[in-house]
Amino acid sequence: MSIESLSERKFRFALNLLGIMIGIAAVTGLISLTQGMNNEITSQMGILGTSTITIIPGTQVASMMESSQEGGFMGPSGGSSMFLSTSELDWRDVDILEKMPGIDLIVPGVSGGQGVYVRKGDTFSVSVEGITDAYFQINEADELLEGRELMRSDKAVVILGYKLAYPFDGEEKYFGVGDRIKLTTMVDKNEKTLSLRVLGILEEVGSSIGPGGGDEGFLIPLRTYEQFFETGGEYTTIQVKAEDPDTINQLSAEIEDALEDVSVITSEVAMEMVNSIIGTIEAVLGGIAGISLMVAGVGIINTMTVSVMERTREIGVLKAIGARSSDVLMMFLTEAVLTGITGGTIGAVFGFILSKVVGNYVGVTSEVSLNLGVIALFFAVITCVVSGLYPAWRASNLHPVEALRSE
Amino acid sequence: MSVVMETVGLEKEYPQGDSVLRVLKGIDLKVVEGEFMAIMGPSGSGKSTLLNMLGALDKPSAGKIIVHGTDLSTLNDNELADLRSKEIGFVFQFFNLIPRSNALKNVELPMAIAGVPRRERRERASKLLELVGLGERMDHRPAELSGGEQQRVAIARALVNEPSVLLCDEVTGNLDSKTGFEVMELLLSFNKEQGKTFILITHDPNVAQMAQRLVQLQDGIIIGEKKLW
Repeated sequence: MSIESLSERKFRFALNLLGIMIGIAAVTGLISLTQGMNNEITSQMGILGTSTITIIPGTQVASMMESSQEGGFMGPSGGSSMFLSTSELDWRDVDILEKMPGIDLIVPGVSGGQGVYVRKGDTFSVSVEGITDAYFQINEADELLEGRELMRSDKAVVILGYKLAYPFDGEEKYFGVGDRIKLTTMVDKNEKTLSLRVLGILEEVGSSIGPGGGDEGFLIPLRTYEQFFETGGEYTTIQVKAEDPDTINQLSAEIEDALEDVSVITSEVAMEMVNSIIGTIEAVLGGIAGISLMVAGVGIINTMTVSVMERTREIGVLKAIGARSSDVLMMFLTEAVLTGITGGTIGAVFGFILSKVVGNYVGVTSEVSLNLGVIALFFAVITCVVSGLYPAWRASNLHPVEALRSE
Repeated sequence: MSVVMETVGLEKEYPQGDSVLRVLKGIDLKVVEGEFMAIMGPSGSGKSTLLNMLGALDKPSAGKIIVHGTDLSTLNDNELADLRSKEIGFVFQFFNLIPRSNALKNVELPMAIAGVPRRERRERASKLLELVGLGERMDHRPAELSGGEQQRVAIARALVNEPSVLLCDEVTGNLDSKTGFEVMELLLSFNKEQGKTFILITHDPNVAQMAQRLVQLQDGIIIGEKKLW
């Protein structure tokens, strides 16, 4: 009987361990993935710079941000209509900004141009953005890998995103500085072609979004863009650099008042919006993982209750030879804590490995932090102790005489 | 000789449906240090209930139990547990060893509960196991020991904290008569050589005849008592 019950107990202990392991692995895995995602987005938001204000047409984005700042999640003003704005930015807005104090640089930009180019018989489509020479002074994170920055006098030139020059990470070079690219587009049903000389190639930013079209865009001079795409004097963004980063909140409020129907984005506000979205994702994923941990807890309640029933006589013996009720309670709780520590540690390690594997697969560098590991372990132990509390309490309260009499 | 244990007008009732079952109906008993007492009676006479109460495992409905001058009704649950740990040793009919632990660990257990340091535990447990004749089998689990051997381990476990009294509950009841006789001899040797006090309950007259004093219990009262040696 004894050897059988021993292996039986080991099996049950292993099952409990497995339950806690899965729960903790899910918690750590999902959280370290979302943390990694957060890091990635935050570092990309950092490109905006702390003294930069981005002005875009329309007020929808601004009101959505306000609602997310208030803790709400995508109010009725948000949603799909946010970018369908009819208003535009133009030279008049630049004029107003030039008269405002506290502004160091004004960089209008226009994006949304689409074109195609041909390389060795293959046709590629590309997004084009028009910028001024001050662009690189404001977007300091955009560094050139090769060539030089734009100058005021440059005309038919292009700065390429990294992936357009090196589509296979440096293995094969598609374009170099000085090469010519023929850009073709349709404007009002007329085909137009423009020959551009490669002026520079941007360093890899690791994304195809963000200012400058990321790794997969063309940056061309604003005047050239306006002539080619025939968009006289209208901008999709105006970036403003404040003279003093500390005045940025006041300055953005002033700009919002001075220009009609615009949204003003600072890196701080954008970060808050992103944080609130990621917070929601984290809460949902954490909740799902938490449920699996809860299920593991119920499993522990079950097995420990069975274990207490099986060991009733043993508990009677312990009490007869002098164990206090608290000794019996501690004995069972120790077992629960042990399950928590073992299952939690293995589970956390598994979770981190899982987040690395899944992260690799989906292209997110998951964050493996000691902090998260410790918190996960803490939750594992808490789950086990809370689950073990009732069975352990039942065991400690058994009447010794009745316990001794049981089979 | 000092009195180790005393009961005064001890009663115990159990509720049974609408009525009550009176198991003990006023027991007055004095246990003197160093004596070997047997309480004999048929099943249902209340001897197990009496033993449980002497061992502070159960509480009386009326009357008093006094151990070394302390009225047990004045002690709380923790104090009663400590009393069981230090003053009382139990030996059971079905040995009641911890099946997962070897003989040595089983004997160490009461010391672990009492907070004896690890090294001393090991030393005292192995010495006692040698004394009961199991020096060679200390690392055996209960399932690997015979009934007589298991009972020897249980006796060592009961003695290891040097209690004032050993309470033995039908300790030969689960053994063949030869092994049972050997176990009785062992208990008697501890009584004679080390002056340990024993209270033993049994329904077996042959076992009871080996005691120094025989108390006869029937229907919850003492019906007779005699000194045998």
